[in-house]
Amino acid sequence: MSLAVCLLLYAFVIVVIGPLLLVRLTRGGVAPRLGILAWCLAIVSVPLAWAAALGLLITELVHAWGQLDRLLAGCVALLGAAAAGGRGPLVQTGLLLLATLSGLALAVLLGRLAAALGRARSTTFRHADAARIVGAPHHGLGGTLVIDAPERLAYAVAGRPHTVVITRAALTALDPAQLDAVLAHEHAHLTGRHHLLVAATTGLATVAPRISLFTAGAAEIARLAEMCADDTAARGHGGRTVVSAILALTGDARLPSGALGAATLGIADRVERLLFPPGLLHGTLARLALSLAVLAPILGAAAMIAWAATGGVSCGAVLV
Amino acid sequence: MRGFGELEPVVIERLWAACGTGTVREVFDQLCAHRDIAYTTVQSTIDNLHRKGFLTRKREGRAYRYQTTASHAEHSATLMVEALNRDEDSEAVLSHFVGHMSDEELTRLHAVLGQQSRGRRR
Repeated sequence: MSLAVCLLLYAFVIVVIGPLLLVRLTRGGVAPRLGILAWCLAIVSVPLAWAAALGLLITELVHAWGQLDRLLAGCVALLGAAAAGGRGPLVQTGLLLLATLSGLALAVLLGRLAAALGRARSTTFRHADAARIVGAPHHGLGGTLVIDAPERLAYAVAGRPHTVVITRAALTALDPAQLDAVLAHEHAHLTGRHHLLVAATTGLATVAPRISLFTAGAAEIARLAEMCADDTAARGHGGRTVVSAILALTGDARLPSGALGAATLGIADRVERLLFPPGLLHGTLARLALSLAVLAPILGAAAMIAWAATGGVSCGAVLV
Repeated sequence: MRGFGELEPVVIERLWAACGTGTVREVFDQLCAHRDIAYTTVQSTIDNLHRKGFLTRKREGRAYRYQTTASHAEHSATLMVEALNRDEDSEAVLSHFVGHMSDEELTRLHAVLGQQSRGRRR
């Protein structure tokens, strides 16, 4: 049971400290891919730790049925007091009930997440399909569709097939170099499957909104994905061109404030990192710190697996 | 991916051009003048569009007469509503290039651009 407690403590630490640390590390967008990896590992490790702790707890309850008071006295001093004497069976039932309810809660969470992801997928694919039917193919740019609309919009949408949509107003606002940069940015989103990442993290944030690791993680991962796409576009067309394209499409008063998700956040950050890339020292230090943030959950998991493998899983081993 | 999907925009364009109404025979007659196409292909495409909600239909003798549910402009506007997130129920995952900035973002952006024009690095 002590491993289960450790797993829960680990999850608690990541949930509390994770967002504080990671937001600071990934704010500047020095190595956006590494940043996304760090966030993903932190986010994924928490439900895994919960599930593992739950599994361990249930296994131990089943194995130690009838001998639970000794198990508790051996491992967790606090609960040992409650398990003393004739309260044994009551505590047993209570703990089993707790484990069952936790399992149910986890199942409900996963079910709602799966439903949210399913809805997101079908809505997105339907939008892509409608854009293909209603939009006009852009000459000479495979997979790009033009929609007649006064708002200056350019976006990528996953579907069968994946599509980049740009409005007539946006086309008018961009010169050829800027247009190439915008399309390169959007295609980078599709090639990098960012929609899957954003859908998964946003779904998790919707299903468990009280956990800032998930909500901050969803927002930060979306921001970092924009920066990854900016880097791809800048490699092919130059950072200044990407910046001028950003400026050409911003400031459209028709767009509702705060809409369009990540594309609204961190525009100033995106422009700043394109115009002033970090120096060698700053960049190396940031990469180092992010690499540590990536390694921490991996090493933690490896340590716990090693501990479990060497039989240190439960005090129940003493009873056998 | 070759398939009926490729023809959907072509077929609906024909129907919009014909005041939003037509039968499979009418659309086929117009299309086969410009391209090598089978009657059944046109029929399947129109069926798909009907299934997806772009067309309604009424029996006319032994065939159906199809009607577009909205004009081209109306469909574009609906897409934009979803793209702009104005549709509360929409959960589509779209990766926009830029959005609308808040006043704080705008101030920050001006500061960044000001640094650039002064040729100074932070």
